[in-house]
Amino acid sequence: MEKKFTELLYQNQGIVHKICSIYFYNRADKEDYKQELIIQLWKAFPSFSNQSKFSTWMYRVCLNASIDILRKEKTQPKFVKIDNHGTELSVEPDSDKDEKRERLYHAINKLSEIDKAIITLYLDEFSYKDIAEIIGISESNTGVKINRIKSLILKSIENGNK
Amino acid sequence: METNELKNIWNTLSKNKLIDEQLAKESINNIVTNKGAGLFVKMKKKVLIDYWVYLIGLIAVPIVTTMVHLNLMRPLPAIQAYIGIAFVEIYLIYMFVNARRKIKFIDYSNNNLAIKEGLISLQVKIKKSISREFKLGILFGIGFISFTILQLIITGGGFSNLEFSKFSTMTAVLLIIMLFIFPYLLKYEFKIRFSGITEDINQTINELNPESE
Repeated sequence: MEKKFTELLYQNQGIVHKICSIYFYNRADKEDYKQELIIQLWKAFPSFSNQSKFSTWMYRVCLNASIDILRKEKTQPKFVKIDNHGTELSVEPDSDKDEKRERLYHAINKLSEIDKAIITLYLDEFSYKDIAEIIGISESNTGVKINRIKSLILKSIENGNK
Repeated sequence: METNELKNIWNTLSKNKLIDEQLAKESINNIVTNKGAGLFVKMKKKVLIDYWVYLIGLIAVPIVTTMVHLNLMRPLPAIQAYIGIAFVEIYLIYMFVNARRKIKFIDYSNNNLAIKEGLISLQVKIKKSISREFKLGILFGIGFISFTILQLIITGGGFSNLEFSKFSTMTAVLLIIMLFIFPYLLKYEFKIRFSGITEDINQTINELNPESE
């Protein structure tokens, strides 16, 4: 089982990195967060059935675990180490694309935990049906939320994150 | 800006910045087999220290005081001394229960459920735990106050000898008033202690409710 898990996680590890960068973008010990997500995935692995895609299941566990970590940290505030120097992405100042990239990152970071989850899934090309299933809401509600979050992000990017 | 452009920017962002390293299979395997390095384990270790300190304290305080009283203090000290010790004991019980709840909270996970379902399940669990703690608090608090009132009355010479000029009678009267105020005080304390987490969960669940276009 360990071998199968390692192989599947190795192929889909981008999900762990992405979720970590989105949810714990200003934390000093990012490695600890990645490790915790992997541990939570391993603990939940026996419940993984081949009915859904591994990446969909992985997103569900990682998003749940990230929201869970943030909530638990609120009860243990002394535990959180904020990295004041690691919040900015280093970009080439002349590149318009890089600037937009940085703005998108900051716009997403400003969102609530739930909105972050929805938009990350949407941008990673998940269907409304899959997003609805992972979040636990209806498909129509998912559509409405995506439209709202998208316009929030676009406005934020166009206004230069002001 | 079009949605497609947004997705393109996201793809570049993911590839170049969000995925900042490539874990080797051995590293994944090490993390899985070496669970002691996890974030929750580290968090739990800190709370476990408090848990054991309070547990040892609440067992040691009555044993040590009883030993000292029985062996060194003759005649035995007045009831006021025992009230002081009882308050220390109550504080230790309170802190111990708090630490125990924190450990349970750290251990609890619902990663396999959909996010909304997981939050609702956590909300139910927290409500149950708060209600159980409140009932226990009421039971112990009222029990302790009643016991102290009785002790004060007995040491004061019984109901027939009650005099309001006596310290024990005055304390007993204050404690009788406290008996009525105590449930409200406890409710207030619970509200302060748990409002952060319960409001946070309620707010997140509300965020998931249907919204109109």
